[in-house]
Amino acid sequence: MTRPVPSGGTVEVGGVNQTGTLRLLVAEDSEDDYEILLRELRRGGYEVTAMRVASLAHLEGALEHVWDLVITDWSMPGFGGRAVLDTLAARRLDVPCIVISGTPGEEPAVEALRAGALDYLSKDKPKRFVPAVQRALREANDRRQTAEIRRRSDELELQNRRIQEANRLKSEFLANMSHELRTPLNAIIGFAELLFDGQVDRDSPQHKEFLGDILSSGRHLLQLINDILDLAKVEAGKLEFRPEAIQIARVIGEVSAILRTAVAAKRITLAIEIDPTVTDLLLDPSRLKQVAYNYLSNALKFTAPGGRVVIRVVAEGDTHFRLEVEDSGIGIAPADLGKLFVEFQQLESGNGKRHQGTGLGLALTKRLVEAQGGSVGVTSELGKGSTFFAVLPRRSTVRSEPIPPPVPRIPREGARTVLVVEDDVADQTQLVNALASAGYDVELAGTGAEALTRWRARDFDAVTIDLLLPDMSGLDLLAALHGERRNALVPVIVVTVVPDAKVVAGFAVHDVIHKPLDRDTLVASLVRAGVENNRVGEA
Amino acid sequence: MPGEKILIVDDNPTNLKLVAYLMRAKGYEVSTAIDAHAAISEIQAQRPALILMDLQLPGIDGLELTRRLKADPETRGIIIVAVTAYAMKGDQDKAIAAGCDDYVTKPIDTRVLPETIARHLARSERPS
Repeated sequence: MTRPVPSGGTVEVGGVNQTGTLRLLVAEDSEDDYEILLRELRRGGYEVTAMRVASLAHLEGALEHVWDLVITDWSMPGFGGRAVLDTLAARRLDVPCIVISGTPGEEPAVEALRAGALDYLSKDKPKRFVPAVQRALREANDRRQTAEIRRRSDELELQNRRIQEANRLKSEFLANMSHELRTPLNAIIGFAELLFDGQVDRDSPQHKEFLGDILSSGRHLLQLINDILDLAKVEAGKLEFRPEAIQIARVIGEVSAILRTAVAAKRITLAIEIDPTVTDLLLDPSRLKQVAYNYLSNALKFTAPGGRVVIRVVAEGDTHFRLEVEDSGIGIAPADLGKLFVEFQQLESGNGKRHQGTGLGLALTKRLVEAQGGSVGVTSELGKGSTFFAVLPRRSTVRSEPIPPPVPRIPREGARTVLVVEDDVADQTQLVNALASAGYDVELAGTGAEALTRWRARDFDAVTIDLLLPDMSGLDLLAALHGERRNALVPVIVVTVVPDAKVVAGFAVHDVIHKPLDRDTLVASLVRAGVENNRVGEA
Repeated sequence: MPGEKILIVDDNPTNLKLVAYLMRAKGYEVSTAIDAHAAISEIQAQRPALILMDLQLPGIDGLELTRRLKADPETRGIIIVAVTAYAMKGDQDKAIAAGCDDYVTKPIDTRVLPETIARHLARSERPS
C-alpha cells in the first residue's frame, strides 16, 4: 500500500523509502472550505491529490479507490460526518479520518471520536489542520505497524506451537522406535546367551527352535531398520526413485509370488484384476512393489483363513491409475481409520491381539506414494473388510539422482568378467555366487592394492567395490582406478552397507547397491550398465 | 527359590518363550499369559509369588494391571517386576509409581534376571 508522504522528500514507512503524494478524500459541501483546506495542506508541505464528495452515493463510489486520509465536515445537507465515519467502519477500511467542522461544541466532538475519528477540528482554526493531519497519519501508521506486529507474533506463536507438536511427535517416535528395536533384540540376545552359555542341550529340539527364533527376530529387525531408513529418507526428500518403463501385471505378479506361501497357508483366494488400459507406465518398479507388498501382506494378515483378497489396478483418468487391495478381513472401526497411516500405530484387533509387523509399513507406503505425487486412502466396513488404495501418476517425474545413460559397449564372445573388490569372506562368497549364477566370470581382490594390480593386468567389463577395505578407503580406490588408463570406461558398482549414495558423488559411479546383497538387483544394475551376459541362463 | 511360582506376562510369544525357558531352567514353576485377562485368571489359579510384567499389553496394559493388583489386598503381596522395551527417561518412574517392585529393560540379561528375581523372592521370605 502506498503511504502518505509530505512533498519534497521521502519518509520511512515500515522500513521502506517511498515518495508520493497524499491521496486525500474530502467530504465537504462547501467548495470554498475545500479549497482552504487544500491550500493549508500544500502550504504545510504536502503534495496532495484530492477528491471532494458531497453525497453518500458519491462517497461510496470514491471509496472504491485507495485513500491515505479522509477528512469530513460534520454537518452537511443530506448527510453528515457521522455517516462518513459509519460508512468507513462498515467497510472495515483501514483509512484514518479526521473531522473538520463548522459546528463547534463538545457533543459532536465526542460523538465523532467515539465513531472512530482521530481528531475533531474547527474550521475557524486552519493553522491546526497540518499538525492534525500529521498526527492522524502518524497514528494510522502506528496502528498499522502494531497490527502487523500482532499478526507476526500470532504467526510466530502458531509456528512455535507447531514446532512443539512436531518435537513431541518426534520424541514419541523415538520412544516407539526404541521399543520396537528392543523387542526383537531381546529375543536375539536372550536366546543367543542361553545357547552360548550352554543352557540349552545341543541335541534338544529347543536348540534348533531357538536358533530359528534368533534368525526370524534378526530378519524382523533388519526389516525394521530398512523401513526406518526409508522413512527417514522420504522425510528428508532423499529417497531415490528410478522410474523406468514397467508392466504393471508383471510387478503385481512378482509381489503375489513373494507372498504365495502366506496365501496358501491361510487358504486365501487371491484374485488379480488388471485394467488393460493401464499401460505406458514409467515408475520405479521397486517402490511400486513396496507399496503393493505392504498392502497385500497387510490384507493377508487381517483376513481369516479361507477368505478372499483382490489386487486391482484400474485407470484413474488418462494420467493416473489406482492400485487397490480389497480384503474380506476384520475391517477397521471408523475411529481407527485416522491412525492407519501413522508410524507405530498398530491397531488392536477385536480379540485384543496385536499383529506381527513393524508398524511402519502403511506409514512408509503413504510417504512413498506421496513422494511420487500420488495419494493413499482406505475404505472399510467393520466385520466385512477393507480396501486400501494408492492413486499414482502413470509417469513419475520424481528422480532424485540423474541416471547416467548406459555406456555403449561392443558385444564380445563369451562371458563378461567382473572384478569384485571385497575383503569380507562371507560377502565375497555371496557376490561370486550371485555373479557366477548369472553367467559372469569373476575375479576377486581382497584389498585395494590387489584390485589395482588386477585392474592393470587385464580388461574388465565391470567392477564392484566395497567401500570398507583393509588397506585403503574405498573412495581412494575409486580415485586410483579412475586414474588408470586401462579399463577407463568400465562401469563401477559400489556395494556397501553405507546407505548413503552421496558419499560417492563426484566419482563416476554407475550404481550404489546396499548390503545385504540381492542378486537380482546386482544383475539388473549390470544390465543397465550395458554389461549383459551372453551366457545368462546357462548356469 | 526353586519351586516357587512365577507368572510371566508378555504379548510377544517369542519373548514369552525366552523368559519362560530361562525361569524353568532355574527351577521355578512357570505359568504364562499373553494379556491382562489371561494374567488375572492365572493369578487366581496359581497364586504366583512373583510376576514378570511386560508393560505394553493389548487392552488393559501392564501399568493398569499392576495398579489393580496392588490395590487388591488379596494380590498386593505379589512381587511385580516390570520387564519392558520402553527404556526412555520417565518410563521407570511410571512403572514404580504404578506399584512395580522393580524395573528391567529389554533386551534382558539372561545372566542377571534370575539373580534379580532370586533376590526379590529371598527378601519377601525373610521373617519380618
